[in-house]
Amino acid sequence: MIEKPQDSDLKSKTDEELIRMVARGNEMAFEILMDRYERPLVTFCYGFMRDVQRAEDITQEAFLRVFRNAYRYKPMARFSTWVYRIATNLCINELKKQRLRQASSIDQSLSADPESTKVVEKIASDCATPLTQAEEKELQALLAKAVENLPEDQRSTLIMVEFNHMAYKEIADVLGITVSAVKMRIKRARENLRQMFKFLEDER
Amino acid sequence: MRELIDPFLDGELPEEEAAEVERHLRTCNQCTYESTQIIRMKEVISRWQGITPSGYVKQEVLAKVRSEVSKHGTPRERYIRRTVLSAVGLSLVLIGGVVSIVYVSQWSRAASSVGVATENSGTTTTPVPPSTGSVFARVAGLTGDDVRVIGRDGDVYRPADRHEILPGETVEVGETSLLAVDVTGGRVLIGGIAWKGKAPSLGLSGSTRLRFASPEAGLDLARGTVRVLASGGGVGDIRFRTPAGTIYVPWAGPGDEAAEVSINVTADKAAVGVSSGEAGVLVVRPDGNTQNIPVKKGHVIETTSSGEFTDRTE
Repeated sequence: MIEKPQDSDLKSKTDEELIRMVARGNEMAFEILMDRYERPLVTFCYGFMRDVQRAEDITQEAFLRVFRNAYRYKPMARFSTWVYRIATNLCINELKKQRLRQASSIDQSLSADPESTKVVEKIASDCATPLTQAEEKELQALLAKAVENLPEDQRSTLIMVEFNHMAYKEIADVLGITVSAVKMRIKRARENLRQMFKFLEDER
Repeated sequence: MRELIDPFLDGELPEEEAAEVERHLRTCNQCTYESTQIIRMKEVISRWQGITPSGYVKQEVLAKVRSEVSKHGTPRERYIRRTVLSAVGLSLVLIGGVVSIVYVSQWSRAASSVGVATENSGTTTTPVPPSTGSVFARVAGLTGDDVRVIGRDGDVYRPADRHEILPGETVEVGETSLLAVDVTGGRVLIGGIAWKGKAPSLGLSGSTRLRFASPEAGLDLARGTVRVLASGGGVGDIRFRTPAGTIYVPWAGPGDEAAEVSINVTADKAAVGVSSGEAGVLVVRPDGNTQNIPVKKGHVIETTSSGEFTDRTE
């Protein structure tokens, strides 16, 4: 039995309110949650997997688990923590299975290509000129590559901070590590990114 | 001080520490330089839009979910059906005596609890919903096997030996535990496996608090009256089964609004009334068919001779 939406104002509801509705079989509430979390989750999973297709597969599985287990959701935890934890576990299991959990090495080639970094310099120099469409596209590819080149633990943590805008405590809860470890990962991730974008440090 | 810069720029520091970092930055060129670099880095990274999904994720999830629901019902219905049906065939006898059991949800004793008053004048409060919760039990004057909690796979595990828990003691039941409760001779005996890796059998007397980590653990009664006081949503931990095999599962919620539902089940009849909030009863017929019946606030429904519910509210 799928409940039909009874409230046209579902979009204004919190995640926690929506998941309780999902627990009762409300499909519309589930769709809204998926709309909210699809991109963040795919990106989050990409942080682990470095493969868009796999990230999407895992996101799909995470959503299915959310639906199947909605009635088990405990209000004491934030919904976002719960769903990211599900995704984290799926990613880790997948990585274990594929034996891909090896330390990644930092690819320094990014900073070696002056042409590819112009667009980054433009943003970093507080230039008021908006990026052209081509520049924006170039930037997105460059940033994706930069993030991709980080070691897995730093990559996933940095994505949670900068892209998913999660608090250190929530990240620690999701990853099952301490807040200190989160701080350390972020510090190292930024140091590595600075190495990649070394030209940003030229002006001193 | 350097280790505080990242948390400072991420807005993670409490006000006092943040002010301290700000003061430091006014005088330390090295930290100011590092901060500037991180800010510039954050500005660049903040432009990243993340991975653009292909658009198939949501479609495929919805297709799978719809298929599952049409074949097997919602997950909660499946859970209830599986749990309740697994109890069928197990003998459940509520004999005389006085039972007074109080379950309290681990979320909030006051807000997320279900109250049960048995025909024998006891009171029970159970976690809402099914899932996890604590049990606070007081037992007195029972003369036989009165109450059992059924394990997640439907088996009842009788205690191989008895270990008495002191009043007020807390016991945790692990996620994989099987759990059974027998009330014998004025004491509740609880047995299970994987009980913190120790002996599976426990005895209980006086007041003892139990924590159900396994949502499938529940309490079955053959007859009696349940009064459910709930908020936060709930179903499943208390079930009534008539001699004919029909099972009644009162539920409340799932919203935060407090709900109160009373259910009275005897050998040949069941009545359900809701005095506040959102509540109702799930009926599982002997043939496995389920019917979820929300009850309007202020209304009482009662079974007719054909077994169907009718609203008897004036």
